[in-house]
Amino acid sequence: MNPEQAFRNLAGDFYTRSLQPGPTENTLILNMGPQHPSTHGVLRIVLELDGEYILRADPVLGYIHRMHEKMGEVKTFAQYLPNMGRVDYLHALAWNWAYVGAVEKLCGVEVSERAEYLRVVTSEMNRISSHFVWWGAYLLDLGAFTPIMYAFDDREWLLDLLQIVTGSRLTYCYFRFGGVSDDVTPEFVEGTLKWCEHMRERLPMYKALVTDNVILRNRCEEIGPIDLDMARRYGATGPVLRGSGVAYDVRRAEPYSVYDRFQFEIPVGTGAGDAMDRYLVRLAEIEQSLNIIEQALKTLPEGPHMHEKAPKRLKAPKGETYFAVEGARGKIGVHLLSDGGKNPYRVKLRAPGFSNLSLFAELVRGVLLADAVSILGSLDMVIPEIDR
Amino acid sequence: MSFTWIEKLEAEKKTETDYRKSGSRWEVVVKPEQVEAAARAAWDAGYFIEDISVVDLQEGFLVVYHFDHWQSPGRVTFKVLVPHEKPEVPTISHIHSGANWHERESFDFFGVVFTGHPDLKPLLLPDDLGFHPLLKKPEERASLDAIANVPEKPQEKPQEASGQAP
Repeated sequence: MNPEQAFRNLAGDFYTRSLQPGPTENTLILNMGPQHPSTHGVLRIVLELDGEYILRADPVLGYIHRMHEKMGEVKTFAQYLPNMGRVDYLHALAWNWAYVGAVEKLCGVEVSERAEYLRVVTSEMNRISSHFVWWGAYLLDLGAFTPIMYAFDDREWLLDLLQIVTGSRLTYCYFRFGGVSDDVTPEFVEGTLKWCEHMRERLPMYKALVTDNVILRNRCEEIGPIDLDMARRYGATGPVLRGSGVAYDVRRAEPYSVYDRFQFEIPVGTGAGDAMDRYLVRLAEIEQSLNIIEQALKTLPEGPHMHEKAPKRLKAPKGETYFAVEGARGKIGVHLLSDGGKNPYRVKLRAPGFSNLSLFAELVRGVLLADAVSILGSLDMVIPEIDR
Repeated sequence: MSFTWIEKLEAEKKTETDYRKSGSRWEVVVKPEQVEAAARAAWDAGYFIEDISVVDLQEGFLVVYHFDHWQSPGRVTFKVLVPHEKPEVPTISHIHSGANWHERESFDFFGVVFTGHPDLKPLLLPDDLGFHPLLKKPEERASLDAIANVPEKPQEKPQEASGQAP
């Protein structure tokens, strides 16, 4: 390598250089990620630091960008379905639902009633498993190792149950246009109800062991408060928004499927909208999801798991539609256009994590680097979903 | 739910649409120079930005803005058509900060330039890629009338109704 080349590398790449020197002297440009353990995947943040304090932050995305939207245009409607489990690997079934729901809306496909219930049950189970991973990993970021072991222990049972119906453990592709791919077995229903009972015994232990812990509270309370103005400007949704006290949940706001038949609460933060509020909202959501699962399984209607009129070969009419569901991280939207061909003309995927992460740069201005780790974890990002 | 703010908007065309079919309550077609005022009115009415989606059509790029409301949910869609030769739309990132990344992403994928954007650099794609991957070939482009509005009634029943899916 010639000396000139070496110096060019020292100056950093495009993104490091594009963070122009700031108003103060003696600042340090630091690359956090893309392999930093607290960025959960491959997120990189270029930081400008004054000592331990962050002056500016610039998230750099795209390290796991797979051009899902282009794949939507070169695959048929049905072929694109497995992609959905890969967009957000933690709440794959919500993405299944957002896409399948958009196609059903566009083509006027009806869904059988039993399938609607099964969609609710599996999607809520998946939401809980997503929150478990967040919970364990977030505490790992904050220096507590044990909780992830408990979370993964409970999650393992949950994944075993989901494996019975969906056949997979992470990147589910269970929903079909007009229903779901397979019916549930009596063992699944029984096992899930038993697991719900087990979880209700475990959650108080989670609280006693972790939530009430003074070290956790000091790392989360009054850290990264998001006010309503900021939340609305950036289009934050999901627990990040609800932590700030807004009871906005797509399951209630734009009820889809059979969610209007179940009793459940929308947990919201109590005060500042800080990291602790977001933490508490997610834990409360686990309990609410358990409520939904139990109600749905106890009133599970008989019938086929696919609608009799479900299309064998899908032919989409010309048109445009938008369909949104509530994922573990917030509002998942699919904007779908069809020109009447066998492939979608355009698929736009709205990832909740994308909007939630976009407020990070403003939020961490002036905070300690160690607190930025806590804030980042409290946003619960899944990078494949953000990069798509 | 009050939509008087939409009725007051300056726009080319305003349509109240069937929410269950199109996913939007209102579809408002605006000129590029009216985008900022429309985004401002949406902000004042309490709306937040969901996303910005671009569609490549024969007539040009259709830039689609989706907005929604916390307390009175119901999507409002703004649509702007800009020609391929001069794909420029004013930025709304100074009103809805979240639009910043959506605009950068749209610039990545389609090359639509959002004028006045504070930092229109690549977001998801490499900085030296040199092309816009979601552009369609001219012969593949559909016309605006064909797809960008949900027809009132589908002309034909789209699916054959028999049997179970595989």
